[in-house]
Amino acid sequence: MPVVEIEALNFRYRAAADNALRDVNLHIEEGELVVVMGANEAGKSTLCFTLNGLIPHLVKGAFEGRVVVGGMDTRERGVNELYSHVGLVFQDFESQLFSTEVELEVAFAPENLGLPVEEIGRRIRRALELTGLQALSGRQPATLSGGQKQLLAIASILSLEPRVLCFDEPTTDLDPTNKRRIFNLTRQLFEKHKQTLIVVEHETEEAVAADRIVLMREGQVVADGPAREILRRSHLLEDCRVMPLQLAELFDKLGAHELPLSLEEAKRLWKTSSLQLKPECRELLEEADSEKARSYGPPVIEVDDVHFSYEGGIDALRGVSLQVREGEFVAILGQNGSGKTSLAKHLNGLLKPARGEVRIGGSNTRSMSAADLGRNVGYVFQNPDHQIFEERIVDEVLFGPKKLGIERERAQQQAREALETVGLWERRSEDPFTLTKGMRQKVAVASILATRPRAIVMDEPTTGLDYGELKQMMSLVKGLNEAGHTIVVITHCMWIAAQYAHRIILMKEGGIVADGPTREVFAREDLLVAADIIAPQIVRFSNELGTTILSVDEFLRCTQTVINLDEDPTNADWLKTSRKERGKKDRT
Amino acid sequence: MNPYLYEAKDTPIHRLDPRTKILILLATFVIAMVPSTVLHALAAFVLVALYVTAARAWSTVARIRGFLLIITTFTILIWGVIPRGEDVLWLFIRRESLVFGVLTAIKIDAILIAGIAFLAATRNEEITIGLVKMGVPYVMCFAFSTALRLVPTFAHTGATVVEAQRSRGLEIGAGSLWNRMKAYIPLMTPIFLVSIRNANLMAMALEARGFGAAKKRTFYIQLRIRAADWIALIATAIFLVASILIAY
Repeated sequence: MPVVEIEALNFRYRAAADNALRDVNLHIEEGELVVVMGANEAGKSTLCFTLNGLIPHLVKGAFEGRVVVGGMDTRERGVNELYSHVGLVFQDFESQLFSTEVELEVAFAPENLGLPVEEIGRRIRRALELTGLQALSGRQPATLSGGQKQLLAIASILSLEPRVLCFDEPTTDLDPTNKRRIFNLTRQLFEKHKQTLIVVEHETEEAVAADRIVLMREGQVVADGPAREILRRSHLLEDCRVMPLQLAELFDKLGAHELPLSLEEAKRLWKTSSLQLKPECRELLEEADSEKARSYGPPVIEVDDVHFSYEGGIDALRGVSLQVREGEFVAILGQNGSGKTSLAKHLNGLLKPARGEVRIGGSNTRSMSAADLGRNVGYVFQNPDHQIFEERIVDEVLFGPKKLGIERERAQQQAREALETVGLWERRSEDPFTLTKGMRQKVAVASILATRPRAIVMDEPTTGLDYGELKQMMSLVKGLNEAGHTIVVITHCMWIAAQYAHRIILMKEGGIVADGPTREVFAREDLLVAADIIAPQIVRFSNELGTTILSVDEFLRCTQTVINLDEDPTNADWLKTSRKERGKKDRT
Repeated sequence: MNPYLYEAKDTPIHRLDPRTKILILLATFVIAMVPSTVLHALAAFVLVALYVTAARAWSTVARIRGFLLIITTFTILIWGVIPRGEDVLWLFIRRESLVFGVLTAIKIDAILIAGIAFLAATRNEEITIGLVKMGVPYVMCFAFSTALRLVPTFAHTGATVVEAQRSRGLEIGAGSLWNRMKAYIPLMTPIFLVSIRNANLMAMALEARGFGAAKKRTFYIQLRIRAADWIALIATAIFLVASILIAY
């Protein structure tokens, strides 16, 4: 008997116009690892909340259909009966932790079960051991790093020893190392402990390890099957605003029949299909790169041997020097705590160096006013909700220009242009709080854009966005750069850095370990490994072929399509029909 | 940075049972409040200072030094200008008013410092369980300790919002009072909205971990009254009685 049975489930949030879940049917067997994927607002979190009865008991709305977990109907049992059977870990780890000691955080749930103290102690030890947090048992959760906090949030649910574990986007806010830790834990729980797991995840590369993928769109399950099969359907994934595997996408676009999921498979297929890179591709790429470099203007931001430490004595920056020239597109990469944000905050004077100096347009940030700094360097914060306060989008965007003392008419003109750039001019009178996260992020970008800064610094502009929103955001940023704005982006997302940035600054422990053109930095995989960063699939694959290629599109431009009909007749047939179909479509 | 006031240290005060510490705190409030002479108030202050020293909590007290300074100054100023007695020192300042101001300031500081020392030496969970064992309903205790926890979270959100608005050109603390008050609107709105959203998430997280699910809840922290607790309680009782006797 399946441990989770969902039948004909419909749910509509109170005050919402549309159903968040529509006719969802899902059976999950004991010991399965199910990865749920889909765009934002596709109903993934809503689905999680129905498992332990938060929906319909705590979150009210129109509920139809049936959710049965371990034989219990969630409509008949309250959360107080279900919580020990379905452990739910939320996306936002900050608001899940409320104890002052790691051990007590983990103890909280079994305490509520009313278990004897010895049993609670045993469960704490087990949960901390599984998550590798034993050494931190006496620490205060608030002093842990983001990754440790997320592991602790998981440990504090593991101590319930539930039959079903459900993680709602556990890795969204984490850096690559910590993402990997969470994935390893998931795999270990699944393989060694036969734990039933339901994981909502955006990272396609990690979903390969799952048993099964459930793909959702607009509240419906649109595909449900073995991970390897679903991941080969890169069109469907893209339709659902889920990032396809780069290699699968590449070979699909090259017209291959069997799509590779891993580097090994891709290498094999590359050989058997006799595919080749164009001999002149390296020159083409280098030519394009140096053309970009020629278009840069004079330095906008100069950082000179900057040292900085926070209260409490942690050295955040230890002698950082760099120059950002007009028109550049720079990505700063590195793990949490490597000094990225500290550096970025120096670029617009939010932080002033303890030693060394930062010059913006030639003047020292120490002697510039907030308005002066704002006019020169705009800073887009990670979470748009930390700045939005007006009731109309247009007023929000006008706030910056007004504060900088720009006269009314020009301010309105600039706000209009900014909103047109992000595509929100038509919706200018709407309340920003009713927008999706992706849209709110665009409002935040527009509100910086409206002040017409010479350079824009963005701290993780894509956190929490789905693939569709993320591509939109990044093409917006790319457009800004092409229109002459200097861009500095902090990101954990390697493919974004590879595909969009011209230059990479790699940070580790408060210093710069690499600074150079994107292609050169990504060619040095040893450097990336030292900074604990893994290059995107496509980059790793191209490095194996001897030429560093940064995106699928670039790869397609570099490939010579040779289909060996004798070697792979099915492939060739498939290619012919697909071309014919494409031709038909073009004609109509 | 440590957002809580609690500092994990191994001192005799840290080792006391939270119930003992709650009783000491309540007694300290009385001891600090009853004095009617500056000398007596100073003696009570010295007791509090000894307690802080024993708890090695001066660094924590130092974290609110700015606040203490403001409170002290304002108390002396406000009580200092309210007429009291006949003896005019200078212009309209009277001697008795000034003495009363200083006395009140010492009392308030002693109470605040005692409170900080309590929080510096007692974990949130210990306060909760201490209160529970003293008969306060668990839900109320949890609400209390959560409120303590939310203060630093609030402050953290506030700091981020200030940075975000400042980088859009918002200058805080410039211009007329009205302008300054208006400058806080762009700060308060996001702080409240983000906090409400977080509170909502926390409510769900609490439910998911079975908050209030079972009638009988166990506590992982086991409390035990030791000899040291009795000694501390007896000493506190002696000081309490002595203080009341001196005052009346």
